[in-house]
Amino acid sequence: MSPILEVKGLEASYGDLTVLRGISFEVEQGGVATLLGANGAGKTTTLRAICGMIRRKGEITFDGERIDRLSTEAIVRRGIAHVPEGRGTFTTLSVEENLQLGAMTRPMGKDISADIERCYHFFPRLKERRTQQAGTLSGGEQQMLAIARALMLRPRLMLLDEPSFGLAPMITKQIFDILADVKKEAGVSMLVVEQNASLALGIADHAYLIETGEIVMAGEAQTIRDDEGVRAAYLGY
Amino acid sequence: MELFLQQIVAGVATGAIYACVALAVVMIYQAIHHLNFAQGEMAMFSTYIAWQMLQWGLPYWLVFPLVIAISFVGGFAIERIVFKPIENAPVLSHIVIFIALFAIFNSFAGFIWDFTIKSVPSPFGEGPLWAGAMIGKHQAGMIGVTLVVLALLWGFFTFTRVGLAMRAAAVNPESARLVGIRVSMMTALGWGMASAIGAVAGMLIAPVVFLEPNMMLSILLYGFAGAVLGGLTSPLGAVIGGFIVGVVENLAGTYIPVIGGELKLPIALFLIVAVLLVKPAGLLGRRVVQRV
Amino acid sequence: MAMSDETMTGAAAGPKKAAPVPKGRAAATGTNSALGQGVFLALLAVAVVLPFVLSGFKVFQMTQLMVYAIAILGLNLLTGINGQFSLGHGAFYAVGAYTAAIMMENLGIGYGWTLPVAGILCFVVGFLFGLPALRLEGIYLALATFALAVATPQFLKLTPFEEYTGGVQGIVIIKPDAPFGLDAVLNADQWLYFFTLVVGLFLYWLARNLVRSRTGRALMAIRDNPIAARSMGVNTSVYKATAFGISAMFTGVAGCLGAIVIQFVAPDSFTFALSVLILVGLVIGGVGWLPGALLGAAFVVFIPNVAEEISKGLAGAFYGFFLIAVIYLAPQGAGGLLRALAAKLSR
Repeated sequence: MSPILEVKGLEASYGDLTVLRGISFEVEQGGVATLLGANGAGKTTTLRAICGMIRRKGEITFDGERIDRLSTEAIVRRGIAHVPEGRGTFTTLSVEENLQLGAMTRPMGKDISADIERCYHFFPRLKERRTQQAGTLSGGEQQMLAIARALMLRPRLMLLDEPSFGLAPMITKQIFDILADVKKEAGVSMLVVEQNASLALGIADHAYLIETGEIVMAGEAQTIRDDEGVRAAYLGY
Repeated sequence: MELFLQQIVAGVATGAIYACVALAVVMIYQAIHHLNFAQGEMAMFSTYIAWQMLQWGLPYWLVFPLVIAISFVGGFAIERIVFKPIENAPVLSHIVIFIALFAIFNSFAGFIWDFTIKSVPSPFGEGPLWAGAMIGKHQAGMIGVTLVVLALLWGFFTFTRVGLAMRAAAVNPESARLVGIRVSMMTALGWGMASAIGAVAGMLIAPVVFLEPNMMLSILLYGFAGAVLGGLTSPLGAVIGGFIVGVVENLAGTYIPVIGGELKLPIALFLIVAVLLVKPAGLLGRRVVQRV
Repeated sequence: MAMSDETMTGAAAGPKKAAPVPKGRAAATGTNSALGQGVFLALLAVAVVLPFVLSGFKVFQMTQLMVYAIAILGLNLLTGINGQFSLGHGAFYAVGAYTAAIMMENLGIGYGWTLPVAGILCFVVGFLFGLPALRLEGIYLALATFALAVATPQFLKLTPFEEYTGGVQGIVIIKPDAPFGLDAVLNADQWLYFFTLVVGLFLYWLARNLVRSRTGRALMAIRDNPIAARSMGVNTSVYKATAFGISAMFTGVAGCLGAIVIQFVAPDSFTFALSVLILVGLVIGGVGWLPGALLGAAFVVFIPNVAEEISKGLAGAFYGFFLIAVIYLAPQGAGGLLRALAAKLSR
């Protein structure tokens, strides 16, 4: 099967500062790929470039269609959900409204309410807080809300930007367990950008290592995990 | 005592206009996070169009919704046409564009319809609401229409999908894009709605202050004041703020001798500023906490 | 006027920000310093010759241009350098103007003394206004300064003050002649022109040095990231209030000069329209770019006349169209345009 996302020679810059120097990678249909790297390596920039949030050059193909010239809204409508850095919840709106917003691109109907219930099934804590303002939720809960909102899109590809950021280890484990479930049950392909390599490698099929805007290593998750250099630099053992 | 109550009622009635304008101000503010100084002139222009249609013999019940529709389209179009090319320009450049629009609308109004005062009839009729009532028919009408507009807005934002999308775009434009909302379209919609509400305000106030090209400036300022007082993030606050400004303006004008017609406006503005010093986000506004 | 060093633009507060120009780039265009000096000398030469070539009224217009340029310079120091918004600079201009009028006509003091007095007075007024303004940000500050602008003509008309302000009729000032026997060579218009020119050059020099000093850097740091500035030990409150004071001082001196040049002050000369004029001049010239004040002043002095030539009845509309056209061509003002050009040339 051809990959659901193919990125070739992606370049991106902020003004005069070049952050991505032509990277290439792909995400398999139904698979999870992870982009690992330290701060400032260009991980977040990669996701933003895919979504058309910054100026980029290069080829980005989603399910056979070139998306590198499209606007963010158009890309999203094709079935890519982005869980941004910092969660990006609509803080003054309620949890339920946040979820409804996730389904903005879908036609109205009973499907959406059914999906909201499914989200609550994945994330029971959100159900307890359904009428609360999203901004009053804890960090972990907001991350769950952000993921749930992305799922409401019924995406074919989910981009996750550092889902573990700023969260306690127990919560991040919970979240990654849920992501693993989502992968299994919903068959959603994912591209996970992470600093926490061991968490990411736990659910990934393929891994890429990015350093100062270039991909320095690529391979199956297991291979990467076993690599001495990676273990020393990113996994701490 | 009766004078006091009368002034309160009169204040509430004019406050209804300020509330309407304040609503329009908040609509635009939510979309673009600044104040559109040309809004008053656009409302005035809409009111002139209404007057012209009435002159042509069209009935009021037709003119009212027609002008609202025209104003909506006009506001939407202006946002798309005038502001799209400079989307990424700094805030101050946008403000200069507002100033430009102000000059353009004011000038055209004077040119097309000249500067003589025109009278506009009230759709509610003249005289007191009932014999011996403290409140006039038109005053009651102004308050009523304002409350209806507020209710419609509330319904729109709470129950419709587009309303939710607009709220989302205002709260977090980037995340809004990530759920597929076309944020620039929401901004244009906000402009359209603001222009429509402004037209309503203009058509309501014209019978009271008479129609001339400079009629809306001080009303706009009172509207700003009301919106800021109520908190720029809250439509309800804007309405309450508008009513408060109306009452305060009337009472101050009646009871404080120094404040003749000329000083009313600056005093009102200074009062607002005083409130802001104590409660910087307005009475019902939410302080946006900036996380470092 | 080394243009390079003044090309420091910060983002004005608000969600729509143009990317701020890194200071590194400003230094990189330091090679234009020689060009900048050259332009300055050329302009100075032209400026010196002008009053002998132009008619009396045109000289008067050029003097007015310089007066507005100083006023715009003042606003630039507050908004461009320190990032604080002001829709009410007309008020400070008025204070300066009335200082001149009252001192010269009511107190019989020579016009030379009016400038420093106006400067100090306006600094104090500006500083005092800046203190409560500390609590207000962005749009709220805009509204407060707006209230100030709207209130100004009303306060000037207040009956208790009529004795000093001349009430609605205002005060007429007698135009001073050139001193020390220079009146054989220069007529009053020309003398005022040179007087304004010298004051303007001095004030520009002051402004430039301020921007380059530690104070200037502190002000810009506060503009770009107030929280970071505070955590670095910069006393933001004092600096911000001082910025207001300095800005008011410049605009107040401009008002003082303006009164002497126009020979008349009256409440309705200082309406909200004046504050708008100064703001428009600031944006057209380029926020954060000091030399832009001249270009901005030129726009607000001459374009309204051009608009009126095109159509008397629609003068306002054409002025509006011109404004829109200029903003489209140069969204960041003349300063921004020059910076973009410099960037293209250096590639």
